[in-house]
Amino acid sequence: METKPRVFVDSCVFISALKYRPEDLRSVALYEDPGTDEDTRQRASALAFQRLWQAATDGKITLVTSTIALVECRHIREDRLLSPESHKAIRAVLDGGLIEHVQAGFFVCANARAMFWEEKVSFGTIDAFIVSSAIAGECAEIVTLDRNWVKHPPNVSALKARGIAVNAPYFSETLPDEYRRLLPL
Amino acid sequence: MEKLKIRCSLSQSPELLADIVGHLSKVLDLLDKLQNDMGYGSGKREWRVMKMSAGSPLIADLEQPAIVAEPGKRFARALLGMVKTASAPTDEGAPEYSDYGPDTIQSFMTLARTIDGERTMTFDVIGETPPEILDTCKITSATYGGIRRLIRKFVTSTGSTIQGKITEFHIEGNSPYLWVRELATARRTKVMVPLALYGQVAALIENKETVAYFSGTVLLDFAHGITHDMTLKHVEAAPQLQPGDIEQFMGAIPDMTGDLSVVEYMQRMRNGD
Repeated sequence: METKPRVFVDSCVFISALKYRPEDLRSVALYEDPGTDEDTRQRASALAFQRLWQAATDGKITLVTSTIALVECRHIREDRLLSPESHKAIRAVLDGGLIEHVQAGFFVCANARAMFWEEKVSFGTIDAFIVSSAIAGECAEIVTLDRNWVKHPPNVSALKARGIAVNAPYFSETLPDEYRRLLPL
Repeated sequence: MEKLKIRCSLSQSPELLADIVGHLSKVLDLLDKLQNDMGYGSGKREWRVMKMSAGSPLIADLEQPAIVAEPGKRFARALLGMVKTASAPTDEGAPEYSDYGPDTIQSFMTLARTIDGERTMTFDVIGETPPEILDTCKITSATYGGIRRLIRKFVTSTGSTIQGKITEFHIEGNSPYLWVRELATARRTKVMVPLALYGQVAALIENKETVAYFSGTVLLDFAHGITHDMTLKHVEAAPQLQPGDIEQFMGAIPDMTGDLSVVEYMQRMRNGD
């Protein structure tokens, strides 16, 4: 396995990026608490994704996600009405090979199940699946906007035992320093 | 515990003998380590290669006492059993072999090389294997349980997909196959290509498509929590990344989550909240 830092990107980070254009991100910054305003958090998440992508394009880090992201990154009700250009952009970014996919295969699911059976974690089903996928992808960090599931003690222990940090994307530990300081495009 | 993959093939090539001598001490070192790690101790230098009656090339590692060999026509004759014995290097530094003698050494060999950071040994079996070992691997009432357990380690699973790069292309007879390295795990998988898909695979290679999606049936290896070997059913090149793709992606669907925040949207999608 390569030695580049590997970060698992949850679907919500892609979704936040799909919502905001680069020019929408000038009012936010990384590594600053965005507070509780959801719009600000989402913009910061989108900015973080832009930087993570840039670092991956430059070969500094590796982005990993689950194949489940392919079906989660969709419009709330009008997916079929999305333009061909939107489909093309989504396919290029998610399927183009820069983002590595952990398959939703048997062993990833079985390992997620084992966490429930053996460690009494209180993850949601998909959360356990995400953790299992991050392990399979040899990631030390999961970036997600939804961190509520991390807080329960059994979950903290399970993540700690596996050496996985779960952070908001705008506080990513994986993003190299030089990409944290860039101004929004 | 260090992973050691072992693959086997059959060859009559006398040139391999030079490789045997050249690589033998390295191979023996690996076998010693393997043996010790498995708890056999240093005094019992016995290695057994077993053959699956069906399926695809199988790989042994340190946790597995039986080294499972690749089946198929090329392997049917020689890989039912193999035992190697050897002693420590002599003062001159050359290995000295006992028990089975140099004929067995010649029958059991070898290239040791490094692939993807994992040590892989390829054994080319040149001579006949000892019949007493063959007997132990025949399906009899005495061996049935062991063989049955071995077979049951693997179950086929359909619908598996690999996002990966083709690293090798082979044709044996009329059976083409690929080695594909999965991006997310760096694991190499042998992908058997049905002739109906040969044209698509050839086009991928000729067009220098670097990343593709390979779907098919795989073997689930419950002992090690990994999959082996795919029989290809569908293959598709990944879309080519172009400059500017990320700019088109960012903000492509401003109203993607409707009135919901991203987190609310995710929770509704995942939990039905």
